[in-house]
Amino acid sequence: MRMSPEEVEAVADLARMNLDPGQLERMRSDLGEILESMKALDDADVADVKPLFNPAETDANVTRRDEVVESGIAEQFLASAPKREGDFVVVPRFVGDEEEKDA
Amino acid sequence: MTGSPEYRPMIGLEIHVALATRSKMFCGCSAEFGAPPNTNVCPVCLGLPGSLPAINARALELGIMCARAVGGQVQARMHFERKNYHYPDLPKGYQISQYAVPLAIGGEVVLDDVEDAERRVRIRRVHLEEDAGKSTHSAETGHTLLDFNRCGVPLAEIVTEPDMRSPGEARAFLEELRALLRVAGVSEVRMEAGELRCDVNFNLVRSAAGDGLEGTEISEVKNLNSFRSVQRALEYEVSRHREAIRGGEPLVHETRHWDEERGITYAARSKEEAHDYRYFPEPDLPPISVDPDLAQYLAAQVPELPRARRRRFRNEFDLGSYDARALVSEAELADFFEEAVAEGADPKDAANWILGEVRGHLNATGDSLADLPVTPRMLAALLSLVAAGEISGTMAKDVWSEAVETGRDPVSSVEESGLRQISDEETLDALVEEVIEENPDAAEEFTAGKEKALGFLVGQVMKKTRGQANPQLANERLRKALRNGSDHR
Amino acid sequence: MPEYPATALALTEAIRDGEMTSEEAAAASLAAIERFDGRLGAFLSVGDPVDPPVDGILRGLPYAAKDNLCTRDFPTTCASGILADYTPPYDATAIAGMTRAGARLVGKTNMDEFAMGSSNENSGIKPTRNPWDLQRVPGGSSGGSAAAVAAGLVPLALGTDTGGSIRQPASFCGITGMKPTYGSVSRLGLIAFASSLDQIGPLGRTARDCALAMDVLVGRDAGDSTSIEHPHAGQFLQAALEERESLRGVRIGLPAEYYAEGIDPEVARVARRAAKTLEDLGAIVEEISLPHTAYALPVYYILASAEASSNLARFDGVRYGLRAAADDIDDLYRRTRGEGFGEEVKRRIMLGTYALSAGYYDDLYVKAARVRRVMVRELEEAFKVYDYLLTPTSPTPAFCLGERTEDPLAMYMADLCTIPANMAGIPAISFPGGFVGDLPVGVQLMGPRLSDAGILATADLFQRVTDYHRVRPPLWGGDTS
Repeated sequence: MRMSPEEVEAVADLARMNLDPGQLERMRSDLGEILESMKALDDADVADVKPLFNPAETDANVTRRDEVVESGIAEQFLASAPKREGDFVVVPRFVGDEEEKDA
Repeated sequence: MTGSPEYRPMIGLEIHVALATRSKMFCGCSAEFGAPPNTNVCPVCLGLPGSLPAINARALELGIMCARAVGGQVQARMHFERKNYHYPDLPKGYQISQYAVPLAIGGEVVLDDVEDAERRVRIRRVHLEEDAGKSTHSAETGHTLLDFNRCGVPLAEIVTEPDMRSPGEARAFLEELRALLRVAGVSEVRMEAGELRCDVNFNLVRSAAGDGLEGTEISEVKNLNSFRSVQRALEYEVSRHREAIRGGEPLVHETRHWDEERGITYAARSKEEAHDYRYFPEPDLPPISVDPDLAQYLAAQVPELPRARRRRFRNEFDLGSYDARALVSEAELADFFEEAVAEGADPKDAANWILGEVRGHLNATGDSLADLPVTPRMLAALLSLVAAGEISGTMAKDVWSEAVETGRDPVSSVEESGLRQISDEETLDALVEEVIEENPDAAEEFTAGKEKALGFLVGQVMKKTRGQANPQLANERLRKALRNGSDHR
Repeated sequence: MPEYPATALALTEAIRDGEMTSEEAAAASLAAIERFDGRLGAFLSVGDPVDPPVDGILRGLPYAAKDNLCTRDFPTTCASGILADYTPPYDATAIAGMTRAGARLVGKTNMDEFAMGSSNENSGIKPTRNPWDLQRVPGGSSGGSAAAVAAGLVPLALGTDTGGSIRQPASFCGITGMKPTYGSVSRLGLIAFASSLDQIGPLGRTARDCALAMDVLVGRDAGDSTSIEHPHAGQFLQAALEERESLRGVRIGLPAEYYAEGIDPEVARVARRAAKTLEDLGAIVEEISLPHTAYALPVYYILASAEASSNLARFDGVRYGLRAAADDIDDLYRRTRGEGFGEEVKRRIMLGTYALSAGYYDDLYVKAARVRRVMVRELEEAFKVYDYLLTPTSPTPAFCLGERTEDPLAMYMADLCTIPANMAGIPAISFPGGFVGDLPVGVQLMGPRLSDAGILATADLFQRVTDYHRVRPPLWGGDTS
């Protein structure tokens, strides 16, 4: 199963991850080989089997009570952020839903 | 006529409502609106490495009540999924949401009084998810500032079928939905706190060959946070799509944003190309089973919904649709009304009083009815004094205002200040005799046919009683006395 | 300097009896790290324990933890450039539990970046070497923890196991390593690789030491919604210490697929000999077949990578860790992730993203999840007949550094025998079963869900009648300075 360079790039794009040209080519060949090995699954006749996503399948609901607990980590979080401005974490300006709102 | 049918708007809505919990959907941080930036945060809602979500039981309950309020079928077993996408205010790089199996499927909201007809808006699904953070642009530095307080606030997303046919109808639906959610106790729906946000899907359609529809490409306008914006954005889209048809320009299926100031929508600049959210079951959260008993119990917690209540107000109390709608749209007014009627108030008088005096005061001051010291019983007693003619409407308003300010029982005010009207015929007749004797000329003029003279005589009665005589009764008794007098003479 | 006791159990007893102080124990451990770790590369950060030990069953015990377990007092980097210098604001539940029991953390151990790998060569910081042969890998991804215990730098270490990451390095380094039943140990504070497979567990010299740690680690935690009440919580050591003469009546299956092609015949021979030992102790040993084992690798690599692609999405340079210089947000993501992640992590993120993407979701991700159920059912059926399954832990002994780095598929083979236990969420232990040449080889005992106490006790019985776990690597005894 071969992937085209465009396919590899599209996946890297979805994952928001830069790959240099060398990496891209290695990734293409590695993923191709790995996907080829996945063909072992082709002969598994499992169409009627319910997928198992988690071994902890339980019938009991696991929930928590609606209670407020203060974490006390706000300042430590802000202090260790890569870039901070006052009480905010800062990123380069981006175009989004709320771009018209000015602080 | 060419035979081509007219194009009409086809509108569907996706509404996000913040559920009224104390803590967030998956962590113990306060869900309160308006805290200083980045204070209601913890490893879970910040997506710190190693953190794990835990489902807020109350959010689940409110979600079920929300689903029941719109008539949805709550699913017996559901699970959460991860919706994967990168956005700076989405800390984990995915949003925990529901996809393949939502909280509830189906339902409908019926709108009455819309263009004189009953309209049904079908609900496609209701699911639970967590809110994202808030980003603001700093004009000073040109950067974007991130506040994660809102991250993880529990939301119910309600998705309608594209059943609305005009911007006004979309707005009517949202108003009805807001009333439903408030009555059900699911959310306070404070618009200013962003507790209800709306995405609209819009296009123009007309019947086509066969049973099909043809139409313009769909526009999705995202993140509208007031009903007025929804209506205006839709009105703008109606004319934009109409113009495109007229001009023969093709439209594209796209995401657009609403510019409140300029009153226009504009295409999103960010690449909305193939969003591939890669949903998959959230492995950190086991599936949830909804016990039918719990669902039933929670459904029973949902009080009478607005439409049923309006109908009851019309039938049981003989109110007009305007009054019924106005009262029911504010649950506290409707409750006050019902209690006052239970205390013996005439329904129509009570409705008029509440929608006039009470609502006026609340609107003027921004108070909530619960803040005021007046009770339905006070109102019922006051209204019966008016009905019995014991005090005038003007007086009633005065003592009511006093009650609103001080909490003083209006009936005691009437008694103590001697404001009660003299409506006793015997007392009045004695006074009437006095006045006729003291003003023979006027009495003469009236009997001679000069109606105006009566007004003077009533005024004299009022003067003698320092205004406490019931003017209507004084008028009647004077007429009777004068007519008898002339017969005697 | 006092002589360093061989096991965690002996050391805690020595401290309790006043033969050694907790300060001396910590000092001995730190001195050994100082002396040997320059060559081993087992540690990423080392430090004197800050607080005095709490009185508990592990009072004064120095230990190390894999660097994907969040710690307030040490950086927690997952051996990745993207988390360089990152220190979490909280302790993982497992770490807090160790502290409450009196144990003292002396350092964080090296690992394959984000636990993705089987040799520790994927560490973004430095490779770890095998104390039995410094030219060889210690296994992975908990290679630092395994090497540190094997070399005697600490008596006990915590690791994590997603597809064999505790058991395979335990095998390569000649120690005992346990992957508990999924949900037994809280994952809160474990930086997730694949949430439905990850489990924290102990690495020690003996099954008893693992049982001792399990008494501290196992317990329901409201902070991890997948954690469970374990019926034997707090009773693992007691179960292991119980006087037992034999394994009479215990049925042990040897699944043929784990002894077949792809498994070094020498390694298979070690496992068969271990089976014979158990048989001599009274167990009934029979060959069985688990044909779906063939699907283990592809199913694992699809499911684990899919979950990883999502779990690692949060490392984006916005809130913590590395942030690459960039003018716009999209560039910031792409550069940070491009620069911060190593090659293998990228490969798995790519594979996982692909497996979840539109058009491949059903054919790869969902299909793998269906096959996972079939495999789990097959194991459940086997456990209706057999109490335990005995297999080699890894197809080969420790291989040389660089031997497999160019061939991801060859590297993935190292997890062949360990993956099924993660798929099914069942407990499995690797303990020293013998040697191939001068290299230790582990054998694996798997049991049904919640049979953790049973497999610990069975491994302990094996260790009562064998000496493989007592043999120390030459590094410790020889003059290496």
